[in-house]
Parts: sequence; C-alpha cells; structure tokens
Amino acid sequence: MLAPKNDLLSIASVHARDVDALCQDVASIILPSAVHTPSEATISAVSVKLLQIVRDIEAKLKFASPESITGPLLVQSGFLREPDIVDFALARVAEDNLIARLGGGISQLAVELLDHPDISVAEAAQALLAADSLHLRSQGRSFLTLPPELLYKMCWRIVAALERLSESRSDEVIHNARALIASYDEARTAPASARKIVHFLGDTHRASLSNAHHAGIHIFVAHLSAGLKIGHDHILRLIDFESAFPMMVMLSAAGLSKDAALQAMIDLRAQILSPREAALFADEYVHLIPEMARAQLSNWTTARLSFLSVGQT
Amino acid sequence: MNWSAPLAFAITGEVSPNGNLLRADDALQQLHIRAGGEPGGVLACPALLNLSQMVTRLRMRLARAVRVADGPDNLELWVEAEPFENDVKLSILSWRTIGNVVVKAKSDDVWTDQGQEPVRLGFDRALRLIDARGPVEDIIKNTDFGSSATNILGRLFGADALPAFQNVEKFLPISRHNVRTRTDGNMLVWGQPERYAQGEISGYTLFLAQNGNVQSASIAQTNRSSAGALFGKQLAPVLRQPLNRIIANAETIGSELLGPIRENYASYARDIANAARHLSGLVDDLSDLEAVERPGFSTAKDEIELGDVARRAAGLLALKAADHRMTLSVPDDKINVPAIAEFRRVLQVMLNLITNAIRYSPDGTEVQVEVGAEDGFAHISVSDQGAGVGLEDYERIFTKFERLGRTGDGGSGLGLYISRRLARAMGGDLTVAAAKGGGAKFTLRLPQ
Repeated sequence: MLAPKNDLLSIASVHARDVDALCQDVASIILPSAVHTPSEATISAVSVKLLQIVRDIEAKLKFASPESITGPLLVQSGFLREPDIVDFALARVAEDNLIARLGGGISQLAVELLDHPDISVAEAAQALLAADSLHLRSQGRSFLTLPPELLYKMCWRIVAALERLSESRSDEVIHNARALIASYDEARTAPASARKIVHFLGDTHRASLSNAHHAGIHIFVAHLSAGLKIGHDHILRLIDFESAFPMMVMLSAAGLSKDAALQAMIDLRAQILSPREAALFADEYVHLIPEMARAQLSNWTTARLSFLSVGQT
Repeated sequence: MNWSAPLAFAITGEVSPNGNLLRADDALQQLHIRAGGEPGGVLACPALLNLSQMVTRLRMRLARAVRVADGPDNLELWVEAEPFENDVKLSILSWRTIGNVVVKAKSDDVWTDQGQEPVRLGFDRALRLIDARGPVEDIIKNTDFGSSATNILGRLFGADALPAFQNVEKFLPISRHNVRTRTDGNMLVWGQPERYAQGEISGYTLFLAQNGNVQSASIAQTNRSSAGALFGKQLAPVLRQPLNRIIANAETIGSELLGPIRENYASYARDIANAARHLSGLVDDLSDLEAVERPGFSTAKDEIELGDVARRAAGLLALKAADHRMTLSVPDDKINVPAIAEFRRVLQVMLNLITNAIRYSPDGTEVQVEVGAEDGFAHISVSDQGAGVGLEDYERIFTKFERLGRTGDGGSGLGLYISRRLARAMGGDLTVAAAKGGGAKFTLRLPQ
C-alpha cells in the first residue's frame, strides 16, 4: 500500500539528507587533503556493513530479526555517520577488497606458525585463523571485528535505541549487553592477533611478514603498522585508496626495496593499477626519500586523527 | 627492532581503578620506579596507565603492543589486560627493546671468563643459605648453611660493604661489580632473584668470583675517590629519575597515545623526549668522566677477544645502522685476536666509535670494523665513509667537550675523550687517521 504523498516526500527527504551527509563524511575521511568522492559501491558497502553489525548486536541482545530494529533510528540520529564508525566501516570495506585481491585464501604464514616453537606465536596464529574464519566470514558475529571502544559505544547506543523504541527498560537487554562486552577478547580479533605475531617474530621473519601474498592481509598490515607506528585501519585505507600513490609513499616510508614494493603493489593492486601509475612507480619509486615519505605519512595520520576525534565521546 | 626471546613467565601487576600500581612483579615494579613512580603510587608508565584505565572504563579484555620509554631505551611490551574484581590485571607476555637512542653496554651480568667458575650461593625466601656450588672452599663454611645472607656477607666483606647488597634483601638483581673483601682482596659480585613456576619469589642466587685482575688501589685512594664522587654516585641517580619521567611522558604525548593532538605539539613533545634523552646521555657521560678522571682509576685485566667485542658492539648497533641503511662490516668469527683489557670498557669504547661513525656518515654507506695484532699490541679499528677528520684535528678531537663545530646531533663532546682515557687506563691508546677512500679511521690499541 502506498503511503500518502506528503509522507512519501518527507521520508524521501530524510533519506536524501542522510545519504548526502554520509557521502560528505566518507569523502572527507578517506584522505583529508585529497579531493575524493567515494563510489556508490563504497557507500553502499559501508551502509550494509554497519547495518549488519547493528543487526548482529541486536540478535545478541535477544532481538533477532531479518531487518535491523534500531538501524533506522541510529541512522536518523546521525550515530552511524559519526567519523570513527564510518572510518571503521570503510576500513572493513577496504579489507574485504584486499582479501579478495589476494585470492580470498587464508594466511599461509599463519598456518605455518601453528607449529612455531614459541607458544605465544602458535596461539596468536591460531587466534588469527579463527578470527579470519569465524568473525569475518561467518554470519552473526560481525560485531567481533569492532575495536573494543567501538563495540562498547555501539552496544550501549543500541541498548538506548531499543529502550527508546520500546519506551521501557529491559533488565534482560542490559544483562545481555554486559555479557556481550565481558565476553569480548581483543586478543582474539584479527588485527590484534596479527600484531601479536609481528611483535613476537620481530625481525627474524621480515621477508615473510613483508610478503602480502604469503602473510595474508592482516599480518602484512600489522607488520607495516608496527614499523610505521600508524593504525591498522589507516594502512588498509591507504592501500585500497583509489590512487596508488598513497601506498607508494607508505611503502617507501616503511623502507621497502623497489622489488618488495613492486611485489606488494602486484599482490594488492594489480587489478586496479593504471598504466600511468605503473610507469610512475617504475620510474619514481627509487627516488622517493623515505624521510620525506615518513613526514608525509605523519601529516596524513595527524589530520586523520584530528578528524576522527571530532564527535567522539 | 631487536628480537628477544619471549618471557618464560608473564610479568604481572594489578592496577586500581584510580591508576595505582597495587602489586607488581619485580620487572614491572622497577620499570615503574625508573619512570619516576613510587611503590603503590600511580603507575608512572603512561601507556600502561592508559591501557589500564581503558580496561577500567570498558570492562573488556584488551591485548596490545604497548611502547614505553625506559631511560634511554624504548620498549615494546605485549600486554594483555583484563578486569580483575574492581581492579585491572596486567600481564606482560613479551618485553623487547626497540630503537635505542643511547646505547649502553649491558654486559655486566654476563660472565665472560669461563676459565674461572664463580661461586654460586643459593638463598631461600628467608634469605638463609641453602645451597653453595663452585670453588667454595675459601668462602663458605659448613656452619654457614642456614645462616642469613647478612651474616655471611658481613663476614666476607665487612659491615661497611653491606649497603652494596641491599638489593638482595629487596630481591632485586645486582649488576656485576667489584667489592673489596675484609682481607683486602677483590671479588666480583652479582646476583638475581629466583622464582617458582607461578612467578612468586622463591629465593635469591648470589654469584661471587675472585677478581685478582683489579689493579691495586689503596684504601685511602678508594676513600678519597668515594668522597669526591659527588656526581656519579650522588647526583647522577637523582637526575636520572626525573629525566626518565620526562622522557616517558613526552614519548606518550608525542606518540599521541592519549589522543590526537596538533602535529606541531606532537613534534614539540618528541623534541622534549629527545632533549631529555640527550641530557640523560650527558649524565652518563659525566659519570664516566668523573670515573676516568678519578685518581687511582683502574680497569680490570680480562682476557678478551677483540673480534668478539666487535661483533657484540655491531650487534647492539645493527638497528641504528639499519635505520640509516648503513652496512656494518665486522671481522670473521674465525679471526682470533686476544687482548688484555676490561671487556665492558672496550665494549663501551667500541659502541662510542661505531655510534659516531653512524652519526657522522652519510646514509647508505659502510662502516668497517677490523681487528689485528702488531708488535705485541692488538688493535681494533672503525672506519667510516664520512667527511673524515682534518690532520690538524687529530689531537683536538680527543679533548674534553670538543665538537669540531658540530651542534644539535645529540653528542656531548665527551665520548672520544672518555674513550681515549679508558684506552690509556688499559695500557693502550686511541688514535685517528684517514680511512682509505676518505672518511675517518679510529684505532684502539690494547696490550696482548
């Protein structure tokens, strides 16, 4: 049944405003100094990711439903457009893209490390494989990809939205929210377990850690993150950026040789590398000065962090 | 990064909701104190405090690589933190040193003289002697078993020396150092606490070794030098503590661990940390300066192998060299060049020479360390591909506070002066010449 004309216009107007605001947020987050408009596909993927997480958290709070219950309210309130949440979703979209470009397989290095004599490394490898399989690729657990601060924030905001919609407070929902938070273990997330592997292996496996195809995206990114002291999600976004140049700058800052950088570019961007980018990479990479690359990277990181801090509580 | 073996047992601690370090294993407690904290006070390592407070707020288990400053070093710790009743339990699973800014030789606890086995005394938790191994005949009597560590050490070294062993009572490590015995002999002493598998203290192990190599120095000289050692013994420790706290806090601000700040502010914080590290290095240099200028300053006469020293020094500085894409070329381990000198002093000189070579040479060049022997002297040289030293500066460069016009590079102008004094105290010398193909070549000569 069609809604009355005025209601239809009202709903369309609200949606249009939301979509427009989301576009602007997404555009300004990706690279603060870059003029960039995300594709419709990216915007759509971000929305799907966020609503999936909301739905999975609702299910854990005992409100399983094919459609998100609180999603529309959270969108309308602007909560799902807060910079840190959109940034997280964009990183997951980037992660999906990069995993697909690597062939979608599991980390061969993590498999090898299951037999590592250091139990900490073996356990981290096991946690990474589990996180990769259960959290990223299984249904109903998407919220386990959230960093702790965001899970906490989203969980309680959803509880508040449920209370608002039902106009009552449910002790069971609050109890379930507390149980969900208490059951979270950061060590079992993919970024943390990858970072743990990098920490414990140190420089003894530098070649393996720098090989995206062998190490898998999580360990490869964690290795760069440890060396460059910038966030895991920021690196994902720089690698998956529309242009190849941010990745080139980052690899130069990390001190990768031209051969290693070329291998990383092929592994992670072969399908989208333009002839112009390839030619410039071939000619210019060796002339990039790592110190200047690190300074540039530092500027991007600072600008991104400043932006992300806006609106955070 | 330097790789280090994982900890056999987690280092644990408990932090209250308001950030007080309620309980901690030794390593964490000492890190906290070195960063300027007090026992039971607010955790003085900002990154660890931040992690604890996040767990307090979120009530979640967190697992992170945490970087903290520890004096001249940066540490990367793998920390898992979880709510524990109202408090937070910290478990440090790995402890690694990364990116030394001022590299110090930490060979004190390594017993290099394999020919002379040390005496090993085992004490229980009540610090009663329960075990003695090695050449104990002249040191331990049957009646010593069950006696307190204080009684035994007092008998061996005299009551005046007991303050040197106060770490035993606190179950803290003792670095290897010389202690004069009551019979005017010299003995090297070092020790460490022992633990059960669960991590609790089980006792203490003290190592003693005869040190006949210390050149004679009269008691009068010792007393005089002790009274005059105002800086090294009294001021330096007092200065290091606040400096370490400044470094720790500035590093935290600079790395934006507590939240984003403006780029220029982060840069200022990093400048503060670097300046404090420079001051900390200067404190170390001034302590050394006071030591080498003290009347009667002497060095031990260890039998050392220069290739081994070269490889160890290069290993300690490999990361620093890699940062500048420099190659450190060291002697083959088949080459054996013995010398008579104090191991840790030679290592100190080599660290100074190689650090200078890295600091003053262009990135991407090679630093070559070579060893050899000639005319009854062993020599070890460090050659770089930098600008070199002018002939007129060959002597001037070894004078106190001489920087040859350089500023702002973190040097104090004392390193080469101290190194030459050390070389001469060991019966050798330190000189500079031009390296082949440009650059400078510093050569340390030592008796064989």
